[in-house]
Amino acid sequence: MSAPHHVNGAYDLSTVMPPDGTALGTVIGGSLTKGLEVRLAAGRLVEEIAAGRYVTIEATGQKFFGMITDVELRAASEAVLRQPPEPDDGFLRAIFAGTAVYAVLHVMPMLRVTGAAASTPEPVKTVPSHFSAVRDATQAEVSQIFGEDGPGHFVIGTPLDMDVKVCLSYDRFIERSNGIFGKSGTGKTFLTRSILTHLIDKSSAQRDRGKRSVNLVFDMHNEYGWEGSSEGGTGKVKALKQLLGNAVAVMTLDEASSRRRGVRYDTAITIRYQDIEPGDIAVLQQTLNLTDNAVEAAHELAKHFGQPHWLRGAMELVESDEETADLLQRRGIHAATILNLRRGLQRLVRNKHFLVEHGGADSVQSILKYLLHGTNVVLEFGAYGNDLPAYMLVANVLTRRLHEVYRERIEAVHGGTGEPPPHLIITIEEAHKFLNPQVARQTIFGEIAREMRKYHVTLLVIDQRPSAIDDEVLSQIATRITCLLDNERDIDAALGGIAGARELRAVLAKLETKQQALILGHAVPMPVVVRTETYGTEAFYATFRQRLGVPPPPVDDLYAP
Amino acid sequence: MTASLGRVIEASIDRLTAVCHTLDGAPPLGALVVAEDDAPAIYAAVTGALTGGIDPGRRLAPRGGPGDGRAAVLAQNPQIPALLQTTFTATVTGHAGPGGEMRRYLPDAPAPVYALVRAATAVETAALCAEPDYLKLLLTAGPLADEVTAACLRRAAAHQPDSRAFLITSGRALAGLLAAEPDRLHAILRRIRP
Ligand SMILES: Nc1ncnc2c1ncn2[C@@H]1O[C@H](COP(=O)(O)OP(=O)(O)OP(=O)(O)O)[C@@H](O)[C@H]1O
Ligand SMILES: [Mg+2]
Repeated sequence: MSAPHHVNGAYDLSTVMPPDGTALGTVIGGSLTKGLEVRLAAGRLVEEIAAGRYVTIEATGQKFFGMITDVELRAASEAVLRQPPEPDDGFLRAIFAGTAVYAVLHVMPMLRVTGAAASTPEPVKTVPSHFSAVRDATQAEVSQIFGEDGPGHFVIGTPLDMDVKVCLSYDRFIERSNGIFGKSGTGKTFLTRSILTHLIDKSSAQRDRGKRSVNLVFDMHNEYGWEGSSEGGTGKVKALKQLLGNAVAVMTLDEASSRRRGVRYDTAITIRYQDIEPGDIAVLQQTLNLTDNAVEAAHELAKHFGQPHWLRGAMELVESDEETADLLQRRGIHAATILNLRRGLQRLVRNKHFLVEHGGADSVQSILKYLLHGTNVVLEFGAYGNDLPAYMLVANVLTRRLHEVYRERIEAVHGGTGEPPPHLIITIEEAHKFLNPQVARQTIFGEIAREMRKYHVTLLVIDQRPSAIDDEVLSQIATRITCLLDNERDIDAALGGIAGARELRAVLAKLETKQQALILGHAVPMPVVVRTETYGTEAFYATFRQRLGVPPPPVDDLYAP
Repeated sequence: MTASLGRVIEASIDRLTAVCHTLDGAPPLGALVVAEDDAPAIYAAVTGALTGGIDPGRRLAPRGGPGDGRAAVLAQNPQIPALLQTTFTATVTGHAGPGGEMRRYLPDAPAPVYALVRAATAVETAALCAEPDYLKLLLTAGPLADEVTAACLRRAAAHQPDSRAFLITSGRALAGLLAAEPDRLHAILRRIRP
């Protein structure tokens, strides 16, 4: 055992009885990259210390803020471990605790505030000196760091063991793409719904039009629009439309399902054959079991038939037909390839009532109308949520077209004409399906993630398996809200590219299975573990309405069909 | 002021030996005593007591028959008590500063020879034990230091309002001081366990 342990085995009276009850310990070593070692004060029980908790370190002329990332038991000498007291020997245990044996907290220093009280926290570039006093961070400090609820910040939850609100920066959150990760059932959807509610509310509070944002949610499992279900005994919870009324439009791909569930939807959405491009098929290559050649062939056929007609044309090709054989030969397409493509396309269009060949409205235009007007759109998939090709096709087609329009508009603005559209945030579940390394380069989602906010479109990706997302895309996910993950690779992915992330691993792996999340990145000044608000109780709705300034129901009167 | 127990007959900076006014009148092991008498008080803990002949060069001759008890021997030889004396030794654990404040470290000079020695009062004992620094001096009190330390703590605890808390605080201090000597630590802790 190294020398410092013996030095610190010495008796230190000053740490026995913290005068104000909040002293946690004393810095006894560490480094900027590995974090600090803090000897737990003898009066404190190691059992009450939780990884993820905030501490303040009082150094000369400045304060450091950090997070407990690990807790370790040490002995001043091996000898005491050779004759440990009996578990029921309270006398000896009271004597040895904090003297012969003691706990060391590993603390990651993250921010520091110098001198004046009003100075803003800045990232750490050094560490506090030996024997600096460490104590629990106070509520005032935490709220100073994370900002107060207001137009620029929205509440995300409460830090562990504290009764204070942690806020995310609205500006920073809408500025870049963000991710919500966690195993199944950890509360991603509940958290996303609450974040969306706040985003919608904060957007309306922005005076500067350039800071307004609007959401498009691809609601795979019908949880965001009208109501969500809770797996506990509580049953149903209100979703965005019920909470926010006219600020939200619910659209559906599956009217029958929406009606069955009693959802008051605004519009049904159709996708026209002519809206589907070969690129949309490329994204579905794996899902539809298409060969590379088949994807290539789709592009060729689009050139031959023209965009509006290629899908029908490709599905009707009969390779034995002489004219077809001729076409295939000219385009250099194998008969086997056509077989593969045709099978894939037929599978794609089978049983999809939202796909229309003739007629049908241009859904992109109707969605766009809402979005440009500042109305948030939730697109319910109804029963199609269980049909992965359908989900991917629709999300990709719509997003691609919306992105085109946004791009044109922004370019026009740069050219001096028109108003910039509100910042668009697209929420997608099962994000890795669109962003895995095989397809990330081809999908519009990969492009949006990579180009950042250039065209005022960003993503809110929700995923159980961040490791399946392409590295480059992941590195663009600026704020990461991560619920419990237990797969090592997923943990690595969620923390990837973040300074000090190695130390946060333990914190992440120790989250509770529900309603706890580690937040790090662009929208928070330092990583934070929060307990998210319990969504869905009457008290919750009431405080929510109050905070959002939404008048109380009756909902039924407001949205009579 | 408590009556004096004896008089210093030999003193070094860290130790003193006193002869008792009465035969067998030594204070108990670990008891705190004060050598005062015109000089600033020096506090010490009793480390041992000895009763023997006045002349250290001569052994007591055997008296009495095999059937005689101690009382019978003394009755037959009334001169014996005059030939005997009791001395005790104590190890210095602190002293009073010029303003009377408690200093739990060694004084500048030994206790003056022939100074009177008395038992420490409860107030003085509590003052000395208010901080555990004196334990370091106790632990160097010679081969029997561990016994002396344990005895001293047991006696001091009896004067404390919460003796268990006092013993725990003291035990914690010992755990720090004896971090490298766990066997000694355990030996003392076994002797003071309430
Ligand atoms: N903030 C919360 N308030 C109330 N209940 C919650 C909250 N978070 C999670 N829960 C409970 O946990 C259950 C699972 O949460 P949720 O559906 O959000 O998980 P998920 O991470 O989206 O899972 P999946 O990956 O399977 O979609 C909810 O049905 C609800 O009962
Ligand atoms: Mg979910």
